[in-house]
Order: sequence, then structure tokens, then C-alpha cells
Amino acid sequence: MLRLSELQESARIAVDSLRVNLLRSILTTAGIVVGVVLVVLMGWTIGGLNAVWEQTIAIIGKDMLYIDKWDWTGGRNWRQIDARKDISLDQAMQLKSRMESAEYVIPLARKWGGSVVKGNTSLMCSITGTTADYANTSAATTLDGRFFSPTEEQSASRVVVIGHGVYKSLYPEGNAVGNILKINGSPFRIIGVLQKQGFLFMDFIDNQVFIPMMAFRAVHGFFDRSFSVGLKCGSEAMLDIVRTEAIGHMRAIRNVPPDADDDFSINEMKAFDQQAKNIRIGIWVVGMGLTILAFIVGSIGIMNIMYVSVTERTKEIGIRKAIGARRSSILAQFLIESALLCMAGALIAFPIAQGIVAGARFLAVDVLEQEWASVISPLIPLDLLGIAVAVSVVVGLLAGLLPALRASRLDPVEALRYEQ
Amino acid sequence: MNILESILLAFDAVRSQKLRSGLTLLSIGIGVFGIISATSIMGALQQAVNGQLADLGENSLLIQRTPSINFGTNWAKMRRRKNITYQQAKEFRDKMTSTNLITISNTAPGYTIKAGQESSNPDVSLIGIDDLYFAVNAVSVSAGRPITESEVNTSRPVAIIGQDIVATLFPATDPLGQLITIKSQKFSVVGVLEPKGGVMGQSQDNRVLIPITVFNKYYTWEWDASVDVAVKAANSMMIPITVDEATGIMRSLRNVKPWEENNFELDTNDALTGQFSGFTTALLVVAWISGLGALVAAGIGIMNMMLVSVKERTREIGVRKALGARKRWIVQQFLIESITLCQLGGLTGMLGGIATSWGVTELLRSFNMPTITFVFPTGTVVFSVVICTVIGIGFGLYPAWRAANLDPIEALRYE
Repeated sequence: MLRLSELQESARIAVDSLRVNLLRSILTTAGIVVGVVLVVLMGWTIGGLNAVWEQTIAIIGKDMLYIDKWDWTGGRNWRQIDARKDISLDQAMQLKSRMESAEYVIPLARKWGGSVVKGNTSLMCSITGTTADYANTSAATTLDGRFFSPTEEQSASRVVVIGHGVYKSLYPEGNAVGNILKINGSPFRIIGVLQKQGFLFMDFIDNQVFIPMMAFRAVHGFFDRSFSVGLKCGSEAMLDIVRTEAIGHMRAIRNVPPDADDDFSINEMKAFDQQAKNIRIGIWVVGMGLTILAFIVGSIGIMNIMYVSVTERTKEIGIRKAIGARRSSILAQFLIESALLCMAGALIAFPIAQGIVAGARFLAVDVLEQEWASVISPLIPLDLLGIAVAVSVVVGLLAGLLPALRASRLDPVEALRYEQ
Repeated sequence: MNILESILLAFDAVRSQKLRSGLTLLSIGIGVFGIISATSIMGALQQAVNGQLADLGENSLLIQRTPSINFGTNWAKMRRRKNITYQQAKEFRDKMTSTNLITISNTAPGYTIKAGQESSNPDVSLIGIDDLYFAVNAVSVSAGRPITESEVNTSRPVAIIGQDIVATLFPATDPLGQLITIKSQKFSVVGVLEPKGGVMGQSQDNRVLIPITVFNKYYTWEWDASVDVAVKAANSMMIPITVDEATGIMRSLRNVKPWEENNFELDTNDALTGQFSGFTTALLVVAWISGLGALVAAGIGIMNMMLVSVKERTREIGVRKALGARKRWIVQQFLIESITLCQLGGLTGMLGGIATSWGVTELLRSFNMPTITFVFPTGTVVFSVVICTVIGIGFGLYPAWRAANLDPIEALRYE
């Protein structure tokens, strides 16, 4: 068993040798620094992507359920789904009058492949007809202007609220509110612009416009159309209660026999979350796998320099052994040396990575919208520092192990005789 | 002392310190390996995907009688499939509700295009299209205009020609408004396609587009009167729904019994299109940053080892200097040693990277990507040779300079 005094002795010798070969120690540490900086930056980037994703989900509404003819997960049972009857507006309104647990019941009519025309330019986007209740969902938060009012909804006013993507494409210079867009030939006045909602592969969500339900009927008609119904539950805890109630009402409204499956789907944001999960795992594995290369190279550098260190100090080791130093004491000396190098690397890497992040975030503000940049943390989380230091120490110990073993196994007689 | 001698000396040094040199080589190798394998694999994937989807736009699906990508296809079965007629395709288009962007087209190869005295090679692809062709496919008109709906409905003799046709028939004149002749029918040129370049040696610009109604009248091949239907989903999330709907409608139109397989092909490349290139670009950026990071870390390691080497050989340097070696020679010797180390490591990494990416492409080919071919990453190989030299010089310079500036008297006295 290694005594404390011996351990202290080993540590002192380790620190001394680092100090004597200052340049060498600095360079070895620098190799580790490069690796740790890259890995930490990757960790931060992945964290940022996750935060942005969470934000997207939050804005679109974690507390929303959508009753649709189609299943968002796109199940392969197309025959069954295709055979489902359309959900009519009448059914949607019946559900609205029966639902008690949901805060709002919002019928939606969608035309996915629609287009809006501004002067000579036209833009493909989806057109959604809905009620004024939609204004109460988190997805209806406007950047400029407002959502349409109940009066406008009931009078089928030709007013339109445009998504952020439509806004950016048609009005890059700003000031959309008050302008006129043509939808299927009829003019609509823009009264609001929605805030940015989608990110990554969800950005199609910003590529839609909202008009009052009756105005939708006037331009696109209700013929051969399946409506969907948005249910705002108020909180995530209410999701299950609302879902159960909605399923019961919908089955009654659509006369589903007790032994038959639902002839509609209840969709929620989790469907997207599931799809995103695999992509996120893929990004994590590939990103970390690649950045860790530099870290491996850094630790190979440590191993190499430890071998040099052992060779150079063969005589010293011989003397220490000759006057009674134990193998464990020699082993500890070299392990401490390499662990210290690695730990120093991790500690130095952190402020550097933080500096890069500050710069990168500055750039991100330029590229992304302001509201998105604010989602990404400007600080590298401290737990990442803890992990980096811990991993570095372990890697340092592993990299130092072989050289240290070689040193501890030197035959003192041979070692004393060794000449460079 | 000449360079060859320096190189031999460098190899001697590598050989005498096997473990140390081996580790150093390994670290350089890892960096080069990362860069080479990532670039090569991504390149192969990208090329395979681009080849398959030369025209198909983002979020699109293609419905055809027979598959466009052939591997292990049962052709006897395919031949028995009935054509997708223009009438059927139009019915399909009218029934689809999840998207409006549906285009019907048909292609026939091997036409000769004439204009005045000039005539093209007899290998032009003639494509019958409708007005939504450009909205669905990743093809666009660079001059002139697309074909309009009314021109399709009234079978107007108008044509849009590819860049290769422009080059052979109208090298000096503006092609717009000119007349071209295809098998005795005259067409007026209303537009020119944006150049697309070649995919695997096959030019994508050697084509002429005419209204499909005209195409059906004069150019339909008896044995291949089946049209292609391209459907663009409203967005990436709508793809599953659009696929489901399209499959359902197509099956009912073609009277497929519930227990039977589809008698048509529906290819969707949702995950492999627009998102794919964004994904590969992001991955390449990460791979390059990591690879370069690893190379810098390896360079630092090399510098460290060179400093050790200089220290160990202080006496040798002292002797050489005492015997009249010039500073320049010493610098050269150590620089060449570090460059040699870097190149050897780079070579290892290159071999490993090329072998790995070759293995991965073969693996992908045997699974589900028959068109993937291994692309030798010439550019990246050249780049890694250059970067290894740069790193060898950059990180070897200081140790070499330090060796050259040793005081011979001090160096000789060194223990």
C-alpha cells in the first residue's frame, strides 16, 4: 500500500519534472487543449440545437392536440386511413359545443399546396382557414400587427395573418401590415405577421397564412375537404384528459361502432419529437465521434512524451529504486505527471472555448433571428466543464499507464548502468 | 549535405525510435484519416443521390410503371405491368388533395433536332411536360419562359431546349423565337433550360421539352407509352401523408386488389434530397474542423518530439557544427525529418481513410444503394500531402532553428 508521504513525494517529483521541462509541458498541454476545445464546442452546439428544437416545440404548442383524418406519423396503413370519412366542419362544430375540458376548440381548414400573390410574385405556402380562437394559442403570437378578431371572423373579412417565412420572402424590407395579398384571385389585407416558429426541418411551419374560416370557404370552398380540429388543453397535464374526452365525443359524433377502431387520429407535437429524436442521436454520435479524434491525438502526444520522460530519467529511477522507492511510488509519480498535464489542458481549454462561443454567438445573432439567438446559451454549461476535466484526468491516467508501468518495472541495476 | 541524405537520415531517426515515431505517425494519421474518409464517403453518397435525383426536386415523389433504379428487378413481372396512361395520370392529379403540385411527363430518347441547315446528334432526349413541370422538378428555365397551361391544353408547338442544343444549333444567335424541327414537326423555341451539367458522364443538358399533349400525338413509343407522374408534397412533414394518399389513389385507379402488390413504382427520396445536402455539408464542416484540429494537435506533438530529438542529439549537432556544418544544413536536416514524419503519418492515414471509405461504399452498395460508386478523393489526397508538408514545416521550424543556433562549444560539452 502506498503511504501518503510517498504519494506526496511522487507528486512533488511529478510537478518538478513538469516545471523543468516547461516548454515540453506547455506543448503537450496545448495538444490536449485543442482536443478539449473541439469536443466542448461540439457539446455546446448540440446543446444549442436541442434548445432551439425545444423552443420550436414550445411555440407550436406542447399543450395542443390536433384531431385529423391523417396520422402525423404517417402510418403505413394507408388503406385504412384513406377509407376514413372526411371530418366535416359540422362535426368540428359539434365537438366544440360538447368539449368541456379543453380551453379552446379550434376548427382548421387547410390547403397545403396553395399560393399567395403579391403583385407579380407568387409564393407557394399553405393556407389555413380558422376561427378567432386561434389567437389564443402560442403559435398565434404576432411579431407585428394582430390576429383577426371574432367580428372579422364572423363577417368573413378578407384579412390575412402571414407566417414569418411568407413575410421574409415577400417583404424582405419589412412593413407588411396594411398591404394587399391575393389568395386564389381575391385580395386580402395583411393585418398581422407571426413570429418565427420553426427551425431546422420544421421551418415549413412559418410558410403558411391564416384567414377567417368563412373567407376560406369563399376562396377555396369546403367541398371534398377534411377539417382538423385544434384543442388547446391549457397545460401538458391536461393532454390525457382532453384526449380521452375528445375521443369519446368524436366517436359519438362520427357514429363509430363500439368495437371499431377510431376513424380519426389525434396528433400532438410528440409525433415530431419522435422523428427528431433519431436525427438528434445521429448528430450526437457523428459530431462527438469526429471531434473526439483531436482529443485522441492529444492523448497520444501525452503518451509519447511520457515515454520520453521515462527514458530520460532512467538513471534517476534507478537511483530511487536503489535507495528503496517502491514500484507503486514510481508508478504514481508518472501517472500524476500525465494526469496533471491532461487536467491542465481541460482547464485551459475552457476559457478558450468560452471565448469562441461568445464570438460564435455574436455571429449567430446575425444569421438567426434575434429571438432564436437568445435561446442558445451564451455560456458553456458548467457540467460540461466537470465532465471535460474528469474525462481528461482519466485519459491522462490511461495514456500515462504504459510508460509508467515501464518505468516502475525497470531493473534498478540496469537502470543505474544506463547511458544516454 | 544533400536533400536525399537528409531524408535517409530522417528515416534512420524514425527507425531508431520506433515507438516514439510510431505514436507520432499515428497521431498525424488520425487527422488525415478523418478528413479523407469523411470527404470520400460524403462525396460518394452525394454523387449517388444526385445521380438518382438529377431532376426530382425537394419533397417530391415519382410514380412510374417500372423502377428508375434497377437492382434485382424481376423484369418479367415489370413487363406485365400495364402502362400508366395520360388519362389515368390526369385522373390521379384531379383526385389528389394533399397537394396540387403534380406534373405528368414522358421521355423518349434518341431524337435528332434540326434548325435550318444545322442538326444535332441523334441522341437528344425528348420530354413531354405540362405547365407544373418546373414547379415540381429541380429544373428551371434560364432564358425565355416555361410552357403554359393553355399551351398544353391546346397542343401548341412550342419547345424549351437544353444548353447542349443551344450550343450545337444556335451557337451565335439568340435561340428564343427560332424554329426547330423534330421528326418533321416544327416547334418555336420559347425557353432555354438552365445548365445542369453531367451526372456520371451523361449530359443533363441534351434535351428538348415540349407540351405533353404534342408529345403524345407524335412521339409516344409504342412500348413505352407509360407516363411519369411527379408529385411534390407541400412540405417535408407532409411526405408520408402524400405518399399514403398517392398510393391509395393509384391503386384504386389501377384496380389493384387489396391483397396484391402495387403494380407501379413510387419512389420518394424525402430524406435524401434537400435535407440530405444540408446534412452532408454540416457533416463535412464538422469533419474538416475535427480533422484539422487533430492535425494541429498532432503538429504540436511533432514539435514536442522534435524538441526532444534536438535535445538528445545536442552532441551530434555540436560535432557536426565543429566540423563545419552550416546553420542552413542543420535547419534543413531537422525540417526534412519533421516533414518526413508528417508525410509518413499522412500516408498511413490516407491508406486507412481510402480503405475505410471504399469499404463503406461497398457496404452501402450491397445494402440499398446500388448506384453508389467509390470516388477516389484525388483533391483531398493532394490537399493532405500539402497540409502535411505545411504542418511539418510549421511545427518543425522552431526545433530546427533551435538546433541550428546551438553554440558548438556548449553542445559538445553537453551531457
